[in-house]
Amino acid sequence: MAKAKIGVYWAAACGGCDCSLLEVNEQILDVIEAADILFWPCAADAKYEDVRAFAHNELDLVLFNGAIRTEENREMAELLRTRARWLAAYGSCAHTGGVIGLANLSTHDEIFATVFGKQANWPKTHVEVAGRSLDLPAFLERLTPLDTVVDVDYYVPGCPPPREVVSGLFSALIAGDLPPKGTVFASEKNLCEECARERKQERITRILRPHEQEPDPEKCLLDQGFVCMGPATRGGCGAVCPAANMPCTGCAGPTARIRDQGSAMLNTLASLIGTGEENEEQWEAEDAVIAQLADLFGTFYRFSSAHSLFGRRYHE
Amino acid sequence: MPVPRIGVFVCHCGLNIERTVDTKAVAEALRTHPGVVHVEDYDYMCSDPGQQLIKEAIAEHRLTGGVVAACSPAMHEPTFRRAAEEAGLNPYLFEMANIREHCSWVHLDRNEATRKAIRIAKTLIEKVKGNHPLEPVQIGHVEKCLVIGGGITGIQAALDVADAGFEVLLVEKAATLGGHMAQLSETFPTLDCSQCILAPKMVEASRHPNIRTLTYSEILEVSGYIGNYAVKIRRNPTYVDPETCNLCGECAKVCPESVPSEFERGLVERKAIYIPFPQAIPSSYTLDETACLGLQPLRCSECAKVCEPGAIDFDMRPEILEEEVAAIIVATGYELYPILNLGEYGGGEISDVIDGLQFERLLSSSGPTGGEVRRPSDGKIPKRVIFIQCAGSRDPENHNAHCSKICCMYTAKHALLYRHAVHDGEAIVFYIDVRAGGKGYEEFIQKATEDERIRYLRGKVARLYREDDQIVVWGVDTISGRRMELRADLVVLALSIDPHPSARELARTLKISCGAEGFLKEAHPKLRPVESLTAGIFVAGAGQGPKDIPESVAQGSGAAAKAITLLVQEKLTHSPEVVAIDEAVCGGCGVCVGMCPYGALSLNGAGVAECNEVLCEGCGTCVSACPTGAAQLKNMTDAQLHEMIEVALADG
Amino acid sequence: MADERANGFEPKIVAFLCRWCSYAGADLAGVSRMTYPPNVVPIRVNCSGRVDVGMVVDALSSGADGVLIGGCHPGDCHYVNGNYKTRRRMEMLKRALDGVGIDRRRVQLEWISASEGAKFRDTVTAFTQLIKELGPSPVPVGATADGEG
Repeated sequence: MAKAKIGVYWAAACGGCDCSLLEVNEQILDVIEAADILFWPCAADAKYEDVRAFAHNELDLVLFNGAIRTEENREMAELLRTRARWLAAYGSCAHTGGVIGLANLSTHDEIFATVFGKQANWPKTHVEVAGRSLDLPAFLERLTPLDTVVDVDYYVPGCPPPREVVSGLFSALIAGDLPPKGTVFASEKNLCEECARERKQERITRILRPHEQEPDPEKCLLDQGFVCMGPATRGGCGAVCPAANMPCTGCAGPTARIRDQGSAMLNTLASLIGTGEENEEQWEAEDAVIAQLADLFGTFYRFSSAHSLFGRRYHE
Repeated sequence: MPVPRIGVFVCHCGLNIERTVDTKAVAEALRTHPGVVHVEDYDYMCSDPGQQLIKEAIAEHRLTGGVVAACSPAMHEPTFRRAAEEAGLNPYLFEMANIREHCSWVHLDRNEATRKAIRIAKTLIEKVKGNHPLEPVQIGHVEKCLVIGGGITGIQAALDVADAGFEVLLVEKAATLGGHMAQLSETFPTLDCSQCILAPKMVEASRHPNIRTLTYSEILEVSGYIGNYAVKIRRNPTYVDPETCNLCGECAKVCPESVPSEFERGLVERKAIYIPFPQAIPSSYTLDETACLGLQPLRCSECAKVCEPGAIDFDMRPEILEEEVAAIIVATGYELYPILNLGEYGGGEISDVIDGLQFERLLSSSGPTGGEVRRPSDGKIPKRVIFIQCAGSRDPENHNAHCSKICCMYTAKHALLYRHAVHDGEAIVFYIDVRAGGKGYEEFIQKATEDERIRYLRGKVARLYREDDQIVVWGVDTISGRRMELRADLVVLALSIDPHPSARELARTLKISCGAEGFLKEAHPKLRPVESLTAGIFVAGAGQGPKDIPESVAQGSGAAAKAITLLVQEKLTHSPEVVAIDEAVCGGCGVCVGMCPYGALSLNGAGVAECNEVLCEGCGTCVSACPTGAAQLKNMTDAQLHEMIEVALADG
Repeated sequence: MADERANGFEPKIVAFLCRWCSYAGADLAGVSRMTYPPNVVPIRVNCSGRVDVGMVVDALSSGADGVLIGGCHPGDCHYVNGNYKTRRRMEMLKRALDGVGIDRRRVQLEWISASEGAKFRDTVTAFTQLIKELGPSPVPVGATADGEG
C-alpha cells in the first residue's frame, strides 16, 4: 500500500500544537511508517515553492494549526486547501480561534502600541531598501479560525489536542480509515462525563478564582464556586485539568449542539447562582456574586471568542 | 423528517384583520416561502366552513403541517388543532400566527401592519417545519388515596374519597383522630359543641369500609409520581390492643409515671398509659414509651397486672408498611406559636397567662375543671379576664408577620362563653382590628360588643407581669388615646397560628414546598388553593394557612375532589410538549436537575439526565441552564428558535 | 413620526414573550385596541425562563437592533421561578455587552402581567423609541458565522 502523504502547517500559533504531535511517543514511529510528512515548517526546512509544486489534492491529510491573523496565514490556508484531500483544523486556534482570538477585543492600533511602542516603531507592510521593495503580509483586521477562509474537513480540538485525541487521529490515518467529513475528534459530550469529582449541583454563593483558594480535589469545582468550563466544553481529554485540581478553561470548544460556548456557560452559571430562596430580596446579593467575575471574556470565551458576538469590539 | 409540505391559512376575521392587514398580500408573500405548498385566505377560519377548508386542504395537498394566521392562539389553538386531528394530521403539527391581537388591532399603517403580519406568519411556518407529531403522555395508576393528618380536614377528605368508592389510607401521628377541633369546647358562630359535631365524623371515618385508619403512625419515605406513589409508613407501637381494650381505666390508676397532658395543654398531667380524651378513636388506651419507666428491659408492669382483658402487650414492635397510592392529601394542621417567644407576655412562666386552646379546656365540660372557669394557679374563678388578640401575629419585626384569621372570632366566643359561665365576670379584649369575614361572623361579633361587661379596647399590650395574685397588664386604648394599666385574674393570649412543626420535614419527604412561614404552598393562591406544585399531591386545611373549620372542611372536600378526579380516570394524560434529553450529548453534569420546580429531572443509572414526562410542565428553564443543548423542549427546540429568529429579522 | 421614517431607520426588534403573562398582556393590548409602533415581532415561549443568553445573542447577530423579553412579575411566574433565572442570565449578558461596547439598553427585560395591556403598549412604544435614538445595532449581520461546518 502506498504511504499516505501528510503535511503540518502553523499559522498564528505558539508551537504547542506541533509539539503535541510528538506526545504520542512511540506511535509516531508507526505514523512515519505509514505516512511521509512532506511539509512541516516547525520540524523540517521547506519552502512555499515546495507546497505550490504539490499537485491538487496530492497531500492526503494536512494538519493546520494556528489561527488566521495575517495575509500570509490566509494565503497558505487557501494554498494548502487546494493541495490537500483532507484538511483538519488542528488545535484550538484553528478550531475556534484560540486564546489569541481575544486579540479581537483590542484594535489594531492598541495591539501595535502595546507590542511596538510608539508608532514610529511599528512594522510597515511595504518597505523600500536599496532600491528594492518588500511587501510583508498584512495584519488582518480580525483574527479568525481556519474555517472562515477555507472549507474544513476535520476539527481536532484542544489547546493543544490531548494525547488520546491525537493518537486516535493517527490510528485512523494509519489504518487508512478516516471518518466522515465534518467529524470533530473529541467526545460529543461535555467534560463532566469523564470527570471523577463528586457532583452535588450546589447553588453558587460566591465565585472563586484558582489563586484565591486551593480547591478540594474530590468535589466538583463548580460546586465549590470555581468557574469550571467543563459543563460547556467538549470532553475527550479525560478531564486532565480538573484531575490536576484546576478548573477546565474550555480549550476544546463547545459541545456538539452548541454554537456559542461562552453563552452556554453564562447561562449555566447564572442559573446556578443562588444566595437564598428565589425571590426579589436576593437580587442584590446575586448581582454581587455576578460582580465577582473578574474577566468575563477571558473566563467564558477564552478559546472561542472569534466566532461569537463577543469576538470584536463595537462602536455605538 | 419528511420534506415539509406546509399549508398556510390566512384569516380575514371579517374586517378585524382585513381592515388593517392586506390578507391577500400576506398570502401571496407566504406562497413562495420555503416549505409552503398551499396558501389560502378566508373570511372566518374558525367557522365550520373555514375549518372544512383546512381539512380539505390537508387531504388534498398531503400537508405535513399548517399555520393559521389569525387571532391569538389563546383563542383558537385548540379549535384548529382539533380540526387538524379530525383530518388525520397530528394536532401538534398545527400552529397559529397571531396577526390580529398582535398586529391588525394595534397598528394603523396598512403597509407596516401587512409587513409585520408576514414576518409573524413566517416565524410560525419555521416552527411548524421543525415540529414533530406528539402523543399525549399516558400513565396508569393505582386506586388508593393517602390522607396525611386525621384532624377535621383529613377526616373530611378521607370520607369524600371513600364515599366516591376509592380506598383511603388515613395516617395520623397522634394516638387519636380529631386534631385540635377535639380540644374545642364550642365552635363559632353557632356555638355548636365541638365534640358533638366532630365525634360522628371520627366514628364514620373509622368505620368506613373504604378507609383504613392508621393512628400513632408516621410517613417515613415517599417516592414515585402522580398515580404511582410508593409510601413507607411506620406504625408506632401503642402496646395496647385496641380490639381488646375495654376502656376500664384501671391501668392508668396504678401507673406511677405522669407527664403534662398534651390534650389538656399542660393544665393537668396524664399517666404514661392514657387515653387522650374519652371519645378518642381508636377507642383504646395507649402506652407512651417515652413517659413509661422502661420497656426494654421491662421495669414496671403494674398496668398489665390490673388489665383484666389482657389488652397490654409489651412485645409490640414498630411496624413498617409499604403502600402504593395514586394521590396524597396533606392536612397536617396547625400549632400555636410558642408562648416561650413572647417574653413581654411572661414567656410561659406565669401560670395564669394561658393560650386560647387552654381556655377552651377550661370552658369544656370534659376539661380539667369540669367546665367551670377556674384559673390554673389557685383554682379561683376569675372575675376579670383580659383577652389579648394578635399575640405574635401581625408583628413582622418580632414574631409572625401574618394575620392568624380565627383569633378575633374565637376571642369574641371566649368572652361570650366566659360571661355565660361567670355572670358577674368582666371581659376586656385588647384588639388591633376585628376581622369577622365569614357567614354570620359579623353578627356574632356584635353580640360580644353589645354585652355591657365585655369591653373592647383598641390597642396593643406592651407587657404584663404578676403582682401578688393578679396580672398587671400595660396596654393602650388608641381611640381615647389613654395608656391603660389594668389588673386581671386571668389573661388569655390569642397566640399566632403556626404550621404544625412536623410539616416542614414532611414537605421535604414529599418534595413539596412550604412558604417562607412554613405553611404548605399551594400551586396558585387564587385559582389552585388545594393543589401543591407536585402533580398528585394536594394540600388542605390549616396546614396550608390559618383558617376556620368551615374553610378547612371545604378545602378537605376540595382536595378530595381533586384526588377523585385523578382516581376516576382510567389513564392519566399529560401534555406531550415537554422536555426531552438527548442522551448522545448529555454528559450528566446535572445542572438541569435543580432547575426544575416540579422535580421532573433526575440523573439515571446510565449517568445521563432523564425527564419524567408526567411531571414536566414544559417551561424550559432547564433547557436554558443546560450547557450542552442536550435538554430541549419538544417542538420548541433551540434549532427551531434559531430559524424563527432569523426569519423574524430577515430583510424584505 | 413621518420625519423619522423619512430618515430611514426603522428598528427591527424581536420580543420573546412568556405565554402566561406578557404574551397575554400583549393580547389584551390588542383586544383593547391600543396602538403602538410595528417594529416588534413577538415570539411566544412558555416561560421567560426559556429565554437564554444564546438566544438573545442569536437575535443580535441576526439583525435585531433591540431585543425585548417579557416575563411574569417576580413571584408570579406560572412555573414558579423561571423569571428569576431569566433576570440573572440577562444580567450576565448585559455585562458581556458592556465589555464589547454594545449598549446594554438594546436588551430589555420587562415584567408584564396578563392584565397589563397598557404596560405592554408603553413598553413597546418606549423601547422602539429608545432603539431609534440609539440607532442601528453596530453588529454586522452574520457576524457569527457557524463553526464546525
